[in-house]
Amino acid sequence: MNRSGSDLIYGTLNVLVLKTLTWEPMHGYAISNWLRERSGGTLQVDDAALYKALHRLEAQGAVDSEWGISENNRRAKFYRLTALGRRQLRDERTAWMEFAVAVTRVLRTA
Amino acid sequence: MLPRPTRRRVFRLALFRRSAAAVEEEFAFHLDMRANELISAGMEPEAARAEARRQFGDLDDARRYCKRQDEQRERQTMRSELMNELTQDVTFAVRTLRRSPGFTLVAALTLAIGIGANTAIFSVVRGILLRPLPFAAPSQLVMVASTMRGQRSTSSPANVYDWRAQNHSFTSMAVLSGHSAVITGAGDPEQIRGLDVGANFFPILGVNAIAGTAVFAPSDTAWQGTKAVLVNETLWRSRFGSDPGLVGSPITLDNERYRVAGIIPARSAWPTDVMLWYPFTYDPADLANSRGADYINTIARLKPGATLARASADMSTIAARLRQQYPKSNSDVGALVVPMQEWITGKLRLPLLILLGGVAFVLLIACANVANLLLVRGVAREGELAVRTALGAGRGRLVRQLVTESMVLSLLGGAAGFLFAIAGTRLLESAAPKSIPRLTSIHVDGAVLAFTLAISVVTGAIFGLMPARAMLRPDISKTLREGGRGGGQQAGNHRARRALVVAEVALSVVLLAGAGLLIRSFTRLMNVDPGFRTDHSISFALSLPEAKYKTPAQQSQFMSSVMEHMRAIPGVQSAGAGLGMPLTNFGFGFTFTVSGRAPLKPSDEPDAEVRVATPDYFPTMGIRMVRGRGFGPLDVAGGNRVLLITETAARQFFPNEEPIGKHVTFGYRRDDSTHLEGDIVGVVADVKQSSLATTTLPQFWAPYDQWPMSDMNVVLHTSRESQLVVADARRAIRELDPDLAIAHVATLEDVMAESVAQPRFYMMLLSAFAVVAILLAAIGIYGVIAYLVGQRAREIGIRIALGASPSRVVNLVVREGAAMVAVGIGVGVVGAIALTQLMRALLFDTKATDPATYILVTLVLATVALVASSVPALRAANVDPALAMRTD
Repeated sequence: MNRSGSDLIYGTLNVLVLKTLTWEPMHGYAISNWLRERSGGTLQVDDAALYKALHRLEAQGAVDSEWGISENNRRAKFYRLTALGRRQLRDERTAWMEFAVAVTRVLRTA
Repeated sequence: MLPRPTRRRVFRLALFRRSAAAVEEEFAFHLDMRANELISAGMEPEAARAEARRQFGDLDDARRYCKRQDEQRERQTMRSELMNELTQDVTFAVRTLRRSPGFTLVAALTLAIGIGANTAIFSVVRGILLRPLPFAAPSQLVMVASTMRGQRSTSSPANVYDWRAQNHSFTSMAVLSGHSAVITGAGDPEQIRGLDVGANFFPILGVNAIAGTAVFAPSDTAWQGTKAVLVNETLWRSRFGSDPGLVGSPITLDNERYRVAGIIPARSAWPTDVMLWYPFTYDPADLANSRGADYINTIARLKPGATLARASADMSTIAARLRQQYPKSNSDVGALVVPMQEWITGKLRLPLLILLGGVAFVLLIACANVANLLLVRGVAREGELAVRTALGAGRGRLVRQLVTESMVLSLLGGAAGFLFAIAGTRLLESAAPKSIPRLTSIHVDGAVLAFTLAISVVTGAIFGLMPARAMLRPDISKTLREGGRGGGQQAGNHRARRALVVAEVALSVVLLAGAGLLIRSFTRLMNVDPGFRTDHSISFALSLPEAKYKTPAQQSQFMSSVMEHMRAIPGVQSAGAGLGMPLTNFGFGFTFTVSGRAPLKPSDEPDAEVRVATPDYFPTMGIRMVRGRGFGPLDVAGGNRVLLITETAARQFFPNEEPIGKHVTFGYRRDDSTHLEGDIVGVVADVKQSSLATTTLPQFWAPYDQWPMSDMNVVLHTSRESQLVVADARRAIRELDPDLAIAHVATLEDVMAESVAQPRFYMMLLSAFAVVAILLAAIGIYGVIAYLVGQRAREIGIRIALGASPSRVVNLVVREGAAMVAVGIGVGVVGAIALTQLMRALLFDTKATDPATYILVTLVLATVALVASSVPALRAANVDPALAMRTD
């Protein structure tokens, strides 16, 4: 696994977005807030990057979208995980875990 | 959990159109939400909006990126959905077509015939006429010919040398002249075709040798220089087993040794059947006397930028100058520049274009027929379509389905047509007369196939859509009420159908008339008396190499022993030898004077062809003696010189006197400077010289023993199997001289057949097209009448119930067809009279307006139409009235 720094962020964002959507279909704003809350502010997700990831994942078929009504009665675009996205999340999560374990091991021995 | 497909598609289409707007809305929502959040946290609205924007990051970049992603996704979705529906449509179309196999088979086969025949013929035309010659910049290649009193002819070396020195139009010029040879050593002796060519012949063509050189060295082209040849790749492979060491080594030709200078690739060999190219040489001392000895052709390459017209003008100027300079020999000689492609294929242009026209008619008829079939079927389906519309099927979707169905049908026809085209092209290639040049450059043509396929697909689409008109009518219920009969459409459809039948009949008439004229012309041609007997006769060419048979006496002596041995072969009743086979292009014309007549200006002197024969040639060939005597054993060298004259020559040159006893002297001289001359001792019947169709030219015969020649045709009249006799003859010649080969072995029947092979080929092809056309037209007529009968079943039932006799019913139905056919024939005859004018040049002794042909054509078509329409008519007459009235 040979990831450069920026790729790490890129790939990570994909996993995080997919993970977020496992709970329920959400619009972009909700995803953004959810990620901020869960990471306790550690992960500073750029909104522009988030939307780019969402549209890219949609083009890849990992997520699907539908216009719906938001909690404050406005039209909003809701994203939801597809079967393909679920599979992708599983694979990427495994890869991420292995990566994290490996990094952790290296750091411990040092 | 996903929405149902229909809703999903509508949703997606909408999104696609508004994909840009959607991204804007999505982002706006986000920014508003974030700003609201900040405002509730106590921020000023203005500052809150700015902060929301700041937190978002690069908005423009995200906008661009997201829009691009969305559009890409939408396109993909649309594509896959279209593919999906197409698969559905095709599957449905195939299922529908399979439900009516009769219709599908007839329609697809009709298209296949049209597409296949057209592709095959056009492939041939393209290969022969249109494909460029296999040489460098072939459009610059021309032949420069002499003209003799306006007729294209060969040229004399002296004139060509002057042309070459004086012209401003050509980069270079090369002469060519025939040179047949017998090759010996490494296998049986074999007579092969060679050509004497100028040193720059292959450089002009832009052809390079496979091995060695394609350019003769100056020592080879010098008078009495070193003996060298260039060898055709084909001969190199067949006779020398592709021996890489052949170049530079000697081979034996006509008992002399020649060095092989190079090997010429077979695909660039020209003429294609030439196996050897010798350097053309000429005795410079004799050049001045050569004017008037016309036996060479000239090839040249136009200078870059030079046009054909300018080159022609240039050559005309030079020819005029030579006329003034050499009035004695050049008084009637002009010069002509002809593009090489036209030189090779010029005579084929007209017949091939006519065949192309004929086959295009077949395609038109095929399309008309398919249109007709689709119309009939479409009407039958109007009911089905109306029901489906009523049940909510979208119009667009139905139209697309109909078009798909037509497409599938056309493609089916196209696929079968492709197979037909391959088979047809091969068949044409093998059936075509060998005398047609460039047969090897014929391949099935992809472009043509695509073109014919496109035509049939368009036809299918247009006529396949006819039934869709019913759906575009606002009032579907009417169609439904009428039980699917198409009601309001009927009148229009009837008109369309009738027009199609009229067109089919008219086109068939034109084709049939063309074929009929060719058949009639061919019959007349076959009835021409060639002037000789063709049965039980064998002929072959025998060439005595001059290196070995140097003197006339040697030639004469050898020939008489050949004749003796031939006569000794069991079954040979008589044997003779003559110069030049009848019905092949051969002939030397010479001017002559008649003793006792006032001398004429050289340009006014009469000329005639002279051929040479042994005494027994005339009885062997069955050439009739008219009066006087033939050649006898006393007409030998040293004896009194004699000549025979043909009836045509006698009539032309001695209109009111007896030619026998007159002394004639020809301008032609042998090297020993004795003129060809003699007393006329007899009159013989004419023999057709170059072909059955050409007018007989005046001719003289000279006895072989007085004028021996190295190249002769031996003819045997036999009572035995010709193959056995040929084997014996071959053996006998080999015993006489093991280095001699006999060539062009054929029965005279074969010679005759070969001479008419081209007209026969055109006649057969056009007749085949006509037969196909009539069959298709018959199917068309049958289809329409059967349909009309079906439409009128109730009416016919009532008539029968009311006591109409079966013959009256038949009458009624047939009359309907007869009207259409009569109009079609009328239109067709007018068209045929106009179009067959174009083929006048192909007709022998037959006028393009030959009344008998037209009467016959009319009768044939009327009969076919009658038969085609009486089948459904008879069926109608046998209808059970009760049943017929109940069917609705």
